[in-house]
Amino acid sequence: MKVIYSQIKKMVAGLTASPQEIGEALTMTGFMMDSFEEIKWLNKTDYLIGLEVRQNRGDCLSVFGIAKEVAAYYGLPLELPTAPDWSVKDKGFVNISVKATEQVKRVLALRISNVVNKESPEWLKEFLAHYDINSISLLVDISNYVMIMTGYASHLFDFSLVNGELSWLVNHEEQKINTLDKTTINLTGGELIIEDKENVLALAGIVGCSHAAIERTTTDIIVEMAVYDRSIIKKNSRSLGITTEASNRLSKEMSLEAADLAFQFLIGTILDNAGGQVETKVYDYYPNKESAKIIEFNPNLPSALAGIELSHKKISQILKNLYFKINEKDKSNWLVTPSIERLDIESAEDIVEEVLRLNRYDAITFNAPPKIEVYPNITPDSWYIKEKIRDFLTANSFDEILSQPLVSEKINKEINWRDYDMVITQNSVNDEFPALRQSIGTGLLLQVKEHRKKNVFPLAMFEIGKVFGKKEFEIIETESLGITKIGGNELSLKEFQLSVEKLLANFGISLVEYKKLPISNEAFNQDSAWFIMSGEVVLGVMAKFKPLTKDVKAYFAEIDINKLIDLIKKFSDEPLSTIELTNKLVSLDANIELSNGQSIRSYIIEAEKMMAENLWSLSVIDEFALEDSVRYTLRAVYCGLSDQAAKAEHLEIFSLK
Amino acid sequence: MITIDEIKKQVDAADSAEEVSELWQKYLGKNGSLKTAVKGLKELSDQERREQGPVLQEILRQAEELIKDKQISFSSSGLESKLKEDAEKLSNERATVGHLHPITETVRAMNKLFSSMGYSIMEEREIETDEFCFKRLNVPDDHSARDMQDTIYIEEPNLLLRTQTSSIEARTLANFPPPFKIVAPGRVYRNEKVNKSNHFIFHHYQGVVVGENITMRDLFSTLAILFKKMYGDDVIIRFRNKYYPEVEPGVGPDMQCFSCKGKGCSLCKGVGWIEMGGAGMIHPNILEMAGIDHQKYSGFAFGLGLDRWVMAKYKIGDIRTFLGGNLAYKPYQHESHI
Repeated sequence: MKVIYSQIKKMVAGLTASPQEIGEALTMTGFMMDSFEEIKWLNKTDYLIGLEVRQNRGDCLSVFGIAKEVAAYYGLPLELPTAPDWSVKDKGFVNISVKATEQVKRVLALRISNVVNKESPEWLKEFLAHYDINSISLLVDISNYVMIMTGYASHLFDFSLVNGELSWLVNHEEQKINTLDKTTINLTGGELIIEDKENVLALAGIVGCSHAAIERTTTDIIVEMAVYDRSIIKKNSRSLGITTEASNRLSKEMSLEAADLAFQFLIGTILDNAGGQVETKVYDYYPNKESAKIIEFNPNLPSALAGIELSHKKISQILKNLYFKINEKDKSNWLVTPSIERLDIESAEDIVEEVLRLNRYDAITFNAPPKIEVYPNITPDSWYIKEKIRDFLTANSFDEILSQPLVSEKINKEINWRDYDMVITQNSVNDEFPALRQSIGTGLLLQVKEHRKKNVFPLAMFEIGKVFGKKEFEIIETESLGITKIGGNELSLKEFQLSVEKLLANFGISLVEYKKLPISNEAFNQDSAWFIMSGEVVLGVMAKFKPLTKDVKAYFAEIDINKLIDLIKKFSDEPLSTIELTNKLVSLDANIELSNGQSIRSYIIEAEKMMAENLWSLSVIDEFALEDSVRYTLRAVYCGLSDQAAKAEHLEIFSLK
Repeated sequence: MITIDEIKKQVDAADSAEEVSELWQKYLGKNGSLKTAVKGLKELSDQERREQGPVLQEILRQAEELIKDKQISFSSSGLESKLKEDAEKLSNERATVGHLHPITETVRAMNKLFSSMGYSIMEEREIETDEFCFKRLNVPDDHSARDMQDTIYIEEPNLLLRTQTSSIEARTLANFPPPFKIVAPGRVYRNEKVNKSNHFIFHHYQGVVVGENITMRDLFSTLAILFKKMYGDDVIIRFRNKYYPEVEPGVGPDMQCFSCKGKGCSLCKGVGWIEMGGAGMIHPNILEMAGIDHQKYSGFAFGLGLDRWVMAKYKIGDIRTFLGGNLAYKPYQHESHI
C-alpha cells in the first residue's frame, strides 16, 4: 500500500513528523516501509511511502486506514474528507437479486442519471499514476480513486446496457467472458459473477466485463459496492490467475459497517466531479448485520505479557487514540469495543498487541538475560545419536552432505533396496522431483556420479536425513544414514566395511553379520550387496556400486537410524569390563583351517561365546589360502588366568574346532 | 620339552655376547633343539601336532625375542642397527578431515547456545497433517499457506510436507506437559520453483518456551543473546510489530544490515535492516487447543530461516549449493583450522 505524505498530513491535524519519521513509525507498529520515493504531486515536492500491509489488516489497504494509524500513533485528531450530501429524485431501488447468499455479505447500489463522463482532471490522473493505474475516464478513475482512499472496490455499469435485474450468483457453466481490458477468460464453474438477463457483467470483486461497461458516452449509471466472503474472491482470483487492486482488497476481511462511509464517499465524489442526479434510494443487501464486539479486558495484561510496567492511563489513551471505546468496570476489568473497521480485534490478547505496538516494542528493554529456570530435558535420544554419528564420521574423514528429499522416480528406482512403495506428491511445481526419496542414497549416488565426471576423488561422504515409503497404505518416515566412498583401486570393500563396523561398534553393536541382498537394483553390483544384520534385525545395507570405470570404485552403506536406536535401547547400563594393573594377560596363538564356505566371522563369534569369562581379545593375525580351505592364525588373549590355566583353556577350545 | 622359563634363565645368566651366541646356536641355529623340534612336528600324528604345535611355536617366538634383546644389550652398534631397521619414514600424504555441512555447523552453534540456557532439542516428522501444520497453529482455513500453490501435498489425503517448523511446536505442545523450553531445527517445504535464490526446501529454526510468567521481555532478551552469538556483540537489533496467526502479539526481529550499517544497500533492499524471522507470544488459542491452561501458562515462540544466515556467513551466493553436494569443501581445510 502506498500513501502520499501530504494527503496523510492533511487528514491528521497538527502532524509535524517528517515522511521518513512516519515511515519508521509505521514500520515499528506493523506496516513495514518497503519503499520511499520523492515525487511531484499537485506541482509540489512530495513523498510516496510504500508500506507492507499484513493479511489481517484489510482496513489499512486504504489511505484513510493508514491516516487513522498515523493519527493514533501520534495521538492527533483524524479529519477524513467528507462527501457532499445528495438528494434522491425517485424513491425506487435498482433491480437486484442476490442468489449467492453464502458468498455475498453486503451490496450497496443506486442509479445516477445525467453524469458527464470525460477525461479525468490532472490531479486524478496524477494520483492514479502514483499507484500504477492507467487513467481510463473520469467515472472509472473515480471508482479506482475511491478504492485507494477507502479500501472498498466498486463496479459501475452503463444502465442503458443492463438488461433486467442485476444478479449475484455462482457460475455453474463453462463460458468465455471478455474483461474491460479486452482479455478473454474461460470460466470453468464456481466463480462468483454479476450478470443481467443475458450477459456476465463482472467477475465479482475482481474485474468488470466489457458488456455494460462505462464509455465516454455513458450518462446513466448503476453504482454498486459490495463486500464478499473473502475466500471466494481469493479462490477465484487464484484459479483464474487474475490479481487486481480490487481482488487484493476483497480477499481480506473487510468491515461491512465501514462500507457505508466508503459508499457515501464514492457517490459524493461522482456527483462532485461528473455531476448527475441520484435516481434511486440506496439498495442495501445486508442480511447479517455486523455487530460491535465487546471484549473483556484486564488492563494489567499488557504489563504482565510485556514484562514492563504500563499505567492504566497510558493504556486507556492508546485505545482511545485508536477510537476504541472503553467501559472501565473496575481496575482489572474493562469492556472494550474496537472501532468498526478493526475486524482483527477479537480477544484481550489482540488488545494487548494494540497497546504494545503503539507504545512501541523498543520500550521493552532487553539488556538483562532471560531468567534461567531448570525445565525437564525432553531431547529425544535420536538427536544425541545423530550427533555422535556426525562426530565419528567427520573424525574419520567423511564429509557431510545434504540433498533434497524430493527426487525423480527414476533415481528412486535406481537405488531403492527396501520393499516400500514410493510416496508421490500431488502438486509439486517442480515436475522433475515428484517423489519422496526411498533411500538416503539418492543424493549420494548423484554425488558419486558427479565427482566421477569431474574426476574429483578419493572422496568419503555421508548424509543423515529422512527417507519415506508406503507399505500396506501406511506412510513410513524414518531417519537414515548413508555413507559412501569413492576411490581408485587402493580402495577396498574390507576397508569400507571396517569403517561402517567401527561406527556401529561405537554404539555397542559389534556382532554384525551379513545376508545376501534379495532385491536387485540398477545401482548395486548384485554380487556385492548385503543386508547388514544384527541378530534378526535388518539394520541396513552395504553394497558396491556397479563399476563406474575400470579404475574407479565406490561403496555405499545405509543404516536405519530408528532401528539402531531400538537396538541401543535394549542394552543394559552395565559398566564396561576393565582390567586391574595386577591382572595377568596371557597371549596364545592357534591355527585353524576352515573350508571355503565357512565364515571366520561366525567361527570367532562362536569361540568368543565359549571363552566369554576369561577372554580379553580374539583376532585373526594371519590367513593363508589353501586349495579348498583357508588356514587362519588366531591370537587369543586370556585375562585373569595363570599361564597353565590359559593354555589348558586354549587347547580345549581350539582342539574342539 | 624345554620350557621358555628355562631358556630365559640361561639367557639372563649369560655374561657376554659370545655366551649369547652359543645359546642362539643351541636353540635356534640350524640344528638347534627348538628348530629341530619344530621340523619334527610333521612326523607326529594329527592329534599330537594340534596339541604340541602351537605351544612349540610360541616357545620358539619368545626364545628368539629373548636372545635378540640380550644380543643388543651387549652391542651398542647392534642397538643402532636395530633402531635403524626399525625406523619408519613419514608419509607425504596429508591427513584429510571430514566437514559438517554449513547448515549443521550453524545449527550446532545455535543448539550449543540454547542447550546452555536449558533448552531441549526437539525434532519431528516431515510429512505432516493439516491439523498439526495449520489448524493447531491457529492458521485460518483460507490462509494462503494452505493453498496448493504454497503447500506441497502428497497423494494420500490430508497429508502434506510441513511448511514450517511450527508443526514441531504443535506436536510438542500436544505431547509434553509444560513447562518446557525447546529449540527445533528442521527442514521445511514450500511449493516454489528452484533457482539461484529460491528453493522448495529450506531450513528453519524454531524456539518455543512455555511456562509461568513468560514475557515478551524474555523473548527479546533471548533473541538478543542469539543474534549477538551469531553476529557479534555490536549487532543492532529491533523488534517491530508483525502479524502471524500463531502468536499474539507478534513481532518481527530485524538486524541492522551488517553490509551497509543501516544506510541501505542492495543486500537489505535499501531499508538498512534485514528481516530475521518471526516471533511473538504464543496465541492463547494454541495453548487451549493443546489442553494447556492459558491463564496459568504463557509462552513465546520464534521461527528463523537459516538458509539466508548461512549463505551470508559462508559467502554462498546460490541457495542450491546447500543441497547440491560437497564439491565446495576443501579437503584439508577445517572450520576451526590454524
